[in-house]
Amino acid sequence: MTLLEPLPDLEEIRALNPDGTELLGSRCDSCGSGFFPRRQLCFECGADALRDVELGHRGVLYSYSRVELSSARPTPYTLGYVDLDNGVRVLADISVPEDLLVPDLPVALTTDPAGKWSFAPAVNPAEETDEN
Amino acid sequence: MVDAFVVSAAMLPMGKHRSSGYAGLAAPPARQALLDAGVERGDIDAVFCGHSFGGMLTGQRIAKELGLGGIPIVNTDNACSGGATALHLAQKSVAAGEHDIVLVVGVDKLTQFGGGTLPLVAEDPEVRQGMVMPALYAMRARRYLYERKAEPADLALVSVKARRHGAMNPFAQYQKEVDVDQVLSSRVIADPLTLLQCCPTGDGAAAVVVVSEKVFAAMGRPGMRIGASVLHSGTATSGTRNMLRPEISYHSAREAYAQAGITAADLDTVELHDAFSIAELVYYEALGLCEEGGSLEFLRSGETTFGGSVVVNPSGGLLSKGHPVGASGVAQVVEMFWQLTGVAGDRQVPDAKIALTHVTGGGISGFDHGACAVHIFERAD
Ligand SMILES: [Zn+2]
Repeated sequence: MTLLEPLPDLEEIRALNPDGTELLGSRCDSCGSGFFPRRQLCFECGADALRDVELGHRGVLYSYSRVELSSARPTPYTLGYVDLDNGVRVLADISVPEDLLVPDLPVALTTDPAGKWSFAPAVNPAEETDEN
Repeated sequence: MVDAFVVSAAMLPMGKHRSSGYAGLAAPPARQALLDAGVERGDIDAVFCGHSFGGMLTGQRIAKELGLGGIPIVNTDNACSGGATALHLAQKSVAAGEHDIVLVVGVDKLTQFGGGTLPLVAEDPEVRQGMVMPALYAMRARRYLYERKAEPADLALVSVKARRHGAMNPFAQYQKEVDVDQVLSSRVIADPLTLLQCCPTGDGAAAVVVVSEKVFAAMGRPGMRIGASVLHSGTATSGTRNMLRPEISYHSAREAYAQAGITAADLDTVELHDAFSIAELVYYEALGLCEEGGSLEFLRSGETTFGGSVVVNPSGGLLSKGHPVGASGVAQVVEMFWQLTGVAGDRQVPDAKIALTHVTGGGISGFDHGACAVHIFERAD
């Protein structure tokens, strides 16, 4: 007989490192699958020891909607699915001016002064290099 | 395996029935279905009851009203697929020879929530992030508009058709036609979806009686054979997913066609899960009613309304008829029963012989949808 323990709830969509710069997810060492938010079991291969990983800043906006009626949160807010460069799809707040919103828009993780995370239009990496 | 047959069907007109509880909603159609089938209470072998928000022992509370008891009563909750799941279990029990006469009930009362979007379970991380069903379908719609180079007015055509059909259905929550401008100028719920592209909040109940072939033959009355009954859950993935190719509906439909030994081209009429306008377009393709990428042209061509090759949602669908979630799967079957037995009145699909119902249930992350049920029915005399 094995004495089992329940899986404790992980913290509420704990997305960011303490310095506020990175999405935290999980990676399965058995099959390589990545997950967001963090989890303890791999639903791709069934493994039970996942490790915390940083999921990267960048991705592409698959789709989005500005929600005007919701039982889940005060409205309005804009949600979108962001496909991260490592293949993980993340449902996230989208902070993009409405006239710039379009599917397949390159986006990057950003945080506001209050520490709230969202995705905004990505700055071209080449430009970033120029600035440096 | 024994064939299972639907021999009677009844439902409440859908609407805001605020003064009735679950038992009060479901007892009249359940009683009517038993009367129409000519079945005595003592003849019932089992009750399967689908619902989402009825609480403990919903089926037993309904059975008590009818004076039914001492038999297995099973409650199923599969979100919007709850009622169809109850039918699936009934079909399986009859096909396995366990039962000869089964009552199937679907019921839900959404006015208890006082409006807003359907409450989802906050244990789910996407729900905590703010996911609601209109947002999910709105993202599907946004991607559809982008990939298919379509306009919001194209989505509105689905609502216009649904309302035109619903205007012929005395059981529909909405019985008034609307035009594209009215659909687009209604309040935004989750852009690009407006209020008239979202199914209404309402209450309802529906019931059917399912019997074995032996009982059906002895009854000597028209009905429909359940040619296929398929229930799937979604498949979890943490990666990307094509929201225009919902795999759960795609696979469920193909399995149902194989079970029934037919193709989509054989269908005369379909009730599909049009909880939001975009859903109907996406499901045309997933159910194989048209080729992949062809849904907008298929809708525009008029093939899915009266006079077309397959009348989709003759009842007005969820958009017009209403969508008390756990009731909808059974209400779809009631409509198909009326169509296949030729008593659908103004909205009768001429000489309808083969019909399909499709209902999904969503609301958790990582799945396309939590559940999907597809049934195929054939007219039987
Ligand atoms: Zn794994």
